[in-house]
Amino acid sequence: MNGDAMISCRDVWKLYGPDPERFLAHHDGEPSIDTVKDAGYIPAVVSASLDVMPGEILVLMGLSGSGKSTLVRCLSRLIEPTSGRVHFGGVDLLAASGRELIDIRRHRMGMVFQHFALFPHRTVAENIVFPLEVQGVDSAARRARADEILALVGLEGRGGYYPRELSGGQQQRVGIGRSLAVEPDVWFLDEPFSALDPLIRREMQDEFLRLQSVLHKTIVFITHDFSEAIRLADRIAILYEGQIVQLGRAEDLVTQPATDYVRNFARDVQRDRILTARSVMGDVSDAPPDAETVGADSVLREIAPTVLASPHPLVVVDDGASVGSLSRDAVIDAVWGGSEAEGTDSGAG
Amino acid sequence: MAATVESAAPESLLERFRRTKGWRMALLLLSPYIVIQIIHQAAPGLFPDWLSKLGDFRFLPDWANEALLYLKDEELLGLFNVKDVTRTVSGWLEYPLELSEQLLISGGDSFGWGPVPWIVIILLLAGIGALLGGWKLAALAGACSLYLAMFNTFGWGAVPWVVLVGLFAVAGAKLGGWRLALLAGGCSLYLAVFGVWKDSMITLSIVFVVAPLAALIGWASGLAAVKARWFEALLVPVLNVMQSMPHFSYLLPISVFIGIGDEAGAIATVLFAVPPMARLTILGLRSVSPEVREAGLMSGCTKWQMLWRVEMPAARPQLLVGINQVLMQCFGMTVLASFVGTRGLGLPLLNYLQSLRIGKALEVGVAIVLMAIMLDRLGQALGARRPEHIDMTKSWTARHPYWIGGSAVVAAGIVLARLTEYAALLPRGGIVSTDRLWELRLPGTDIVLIDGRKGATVSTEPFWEWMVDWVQLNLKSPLGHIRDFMILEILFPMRDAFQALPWIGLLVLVAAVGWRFGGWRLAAIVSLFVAYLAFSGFWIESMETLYLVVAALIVSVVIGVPIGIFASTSDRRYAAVQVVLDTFQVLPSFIYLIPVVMLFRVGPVAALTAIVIYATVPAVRYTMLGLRNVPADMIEAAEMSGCTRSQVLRKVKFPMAFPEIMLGMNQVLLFGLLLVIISAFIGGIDGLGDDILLARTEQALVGEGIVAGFNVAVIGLTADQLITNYARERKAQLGID
Repeated sequence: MNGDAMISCRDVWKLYGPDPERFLAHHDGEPSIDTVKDAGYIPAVVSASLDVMPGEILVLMGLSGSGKSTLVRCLSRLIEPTSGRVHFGGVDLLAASGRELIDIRRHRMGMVFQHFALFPHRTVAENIVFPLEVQGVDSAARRARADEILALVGLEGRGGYYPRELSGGQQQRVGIGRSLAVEPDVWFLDEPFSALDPLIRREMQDEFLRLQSVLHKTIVFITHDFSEAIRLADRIAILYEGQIVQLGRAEDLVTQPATDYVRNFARDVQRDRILTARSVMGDVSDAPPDAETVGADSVLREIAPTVLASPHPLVVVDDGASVGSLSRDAVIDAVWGGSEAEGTDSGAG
Repeated sequence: MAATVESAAPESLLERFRRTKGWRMALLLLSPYIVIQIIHQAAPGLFPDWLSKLGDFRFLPDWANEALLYLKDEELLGLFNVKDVTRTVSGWLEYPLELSEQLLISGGDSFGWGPVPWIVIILLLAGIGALLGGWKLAALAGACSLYLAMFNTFGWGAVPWVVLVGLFAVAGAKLGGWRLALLAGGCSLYLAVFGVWKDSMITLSIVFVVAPLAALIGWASGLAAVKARWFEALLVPVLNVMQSMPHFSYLLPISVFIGIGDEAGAIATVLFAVPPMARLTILGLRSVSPEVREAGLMSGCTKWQMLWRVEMPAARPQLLVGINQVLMQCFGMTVLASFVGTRGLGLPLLNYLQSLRIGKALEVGVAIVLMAIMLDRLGQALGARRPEHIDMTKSWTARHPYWIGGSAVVAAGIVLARLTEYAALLPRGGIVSTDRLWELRLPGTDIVLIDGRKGATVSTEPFWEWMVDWVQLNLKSPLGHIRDFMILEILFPMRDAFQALPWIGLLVLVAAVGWRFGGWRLAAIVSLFVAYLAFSGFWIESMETLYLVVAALIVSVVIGVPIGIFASTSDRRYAAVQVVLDTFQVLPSFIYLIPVVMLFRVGPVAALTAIVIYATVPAVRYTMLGLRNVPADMIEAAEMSGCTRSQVLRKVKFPMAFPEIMLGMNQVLLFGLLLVIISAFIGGIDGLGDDILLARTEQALVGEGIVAGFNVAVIGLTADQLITNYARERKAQLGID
């Protein structure tokens, strides 16, 4: 367990089937995937371990059935894991009593759902302050909070409307507002934009980033869309058949995919938006000492014009120290050359 | 699908049998029965008689009688007398029933509140209102019960009829706009003007008491079923049996334990109306989306908060549909409960039918129809309503037009009733004086459409009488020929065939079909059902009933399926037919007897016709539904393959819709079984209905009646099990939900 992490989970399993606890115990808690399947169990989450650091956006990425929704529900204990440990803000979540769990959810967690999950019989404002209502916060305070949140999510004047009177994007703003009403420490978002049109999705992603720049929550975000993951994530966990196959920054996934499965996702991304100078730079001695400098963490897209226009490699600096050199060829190779064998089908274009 | 692909191993005989389709399958399934029949006919010696017909067993009815007598007269386990308990319960019902009636029609002057202080009742009602609908409903419930208390204490008269008519119109306006206002106002005005106000208000006063009670019990049991698995396992089979029992089966035991009168009818009605509410509560709570539930959990709801603030409100649409069904079931049953002496609209109808005053019966019938339509439309509109935001910039009055309108109606009506007796008097006496003051004739003829009598009531009886006379004069002989032909050439031979059925043959047949569609479990269940019928002592009667229902099924299919096909071909027709079906469906089954008696008087053809009118509704509905639900791209694919319209229908739509149509057949059978019992009332047919009806008048035969009623349920359940299993399997094969 990582003491600094906001959420920390170790060896979390979720199996569906008859008496899964006994099955796991019988195999010392670590059966192979094939053993599990042969025994007729459905492995929804397989030995998942991860830490979510305070203020970080961790994206769980996977196709449908990969177990990402189940995993996030294990982290919030909406689903009881078959085995494993989950710590939430230093508290052992799985040992929490029903009362304690309700308390944690009332004050420290917020969640946004794919299909919005708004209460159809409540107005927008009533939906937003529902978590406060169940805590017993008085109505004047609730009204004040509703106004704040409505302004925050850009729904001023819509407080008296009912969910069905709003568009999909607006409905999800209500969902977001409700999940933020109690100022939670951790924000779970379960494919929040999947049910929206592409244009609205883009707008909502921007909105999400804007909110996060103000709020600095610890976020677990689920998506099946790799480009969305890249756009929003600090770190990405890729799930396949219930297992976390790789966990790292977008750049790591692109440059060092752990499996072919990850490579397949990474193939179609715009590499120039992800790769940084650091990840493609060469030896510092290749650049003339008086060459112009670029930051080590700047993405290639931003610095490409400078690099490509320069006849000689540039110096890459990190915190004032020169750490490497960046040549034209290195940039061209990294962005258009493709990596490894797949160069033939996507590199030429 | 997957199962058919995988194995290359040689099929066992059983597997090959399971995969046989179409007429070959039918032949295979029928073969054991045919073989038995042949042996039975050709070599009677080979086939012992008891395999064909069981002797006159009477042990079940006798047991039922004994049990009833025991419950009635002795103390159960030496603790208490069941009859005392039921009488006490019916005693409790007496208070609200009487109060409700006084309020609507007879005025309150003599009635005490009973043991409960009125303030408690007011608070209780207001509390329930607050729980269900917030402060507005609480205020309304509080105000009404306060009115009741005052009304009672000071002996006020009943609510003037103008107020009630006005309130119905306002309710219609609020729930469904001016059309519904017109409908509700118009229907209630008819009741007031055409001399059935008193009876209809008695019916309504019973419905007002029993519907909330039934809804509450149904809701509570549905809730318990969702929260506790074992209770659901217990409840669902009970609901299945309850819903396939004919109406009369509810009336029989009640008449033993309660006697006859309004309370008996009320209790039977409550029991009858509980199942649909319980089912829809279960359905509603189950269909709350898991995400909404999770949203509630993540907001930190306790279990109690989850139930009351998340699950119940989210299930509201289904609950409201349930309440509407309860309302309609209660109305229908209250009318029918006239058979055990419950007052209201049913009683005059029953009397007029018995004395063959068809014109009068028709007039009451129209009143029943209008009232049913009015209640149903109001209830539906309530269920279809979705919350809408309120423009807070408007003034208070602009935001609450209907509350203000309603109050204005009440105030104006009360003032009006003070000014002129006609606005208040009408309901009191239900005065139908004999002296005709005015009449409305059909222009250019001497046919009287409406006559006006003293006391502001008018009657359409002359018009209906004229119509009945015309039918008698012009249709009697052609109808007579049809009737005789049907009876002699079709119905009697069919009946004889059914009664000649050896029970073991039917058992084998039913078991084979059951095995085909549901495996050994289903085969065992349905054979048990048939065996029960054989040993119940009512085998012959059961077959008599079955034959009539099957005959009606055939006619209903012949009429209903083409109408369904026709209606499914255009949106406009579909909508129009839908309205007609919805209207037919809400009418109390009793109503269907009126035109039938007018046309055929008595006998099996009359009964058949009544059943067909009643049971064609589901035949049309399900055909339409099945055809409409065929995916559009599948039809387009067929059209692009060059199918003609009839080929599309025959080769694509019909096979796809067939499971749904079979479910329709199932409904036709169940509807038919319910009505075949009621139509026993018009006489001239034997069968289970007769036994049930007899039991109504003779206490010694109540055991027989109950067993006969149970037989009806068993026949219905057998068909239901077979058909729903078939439809489920076939739908899964076709990949439709």
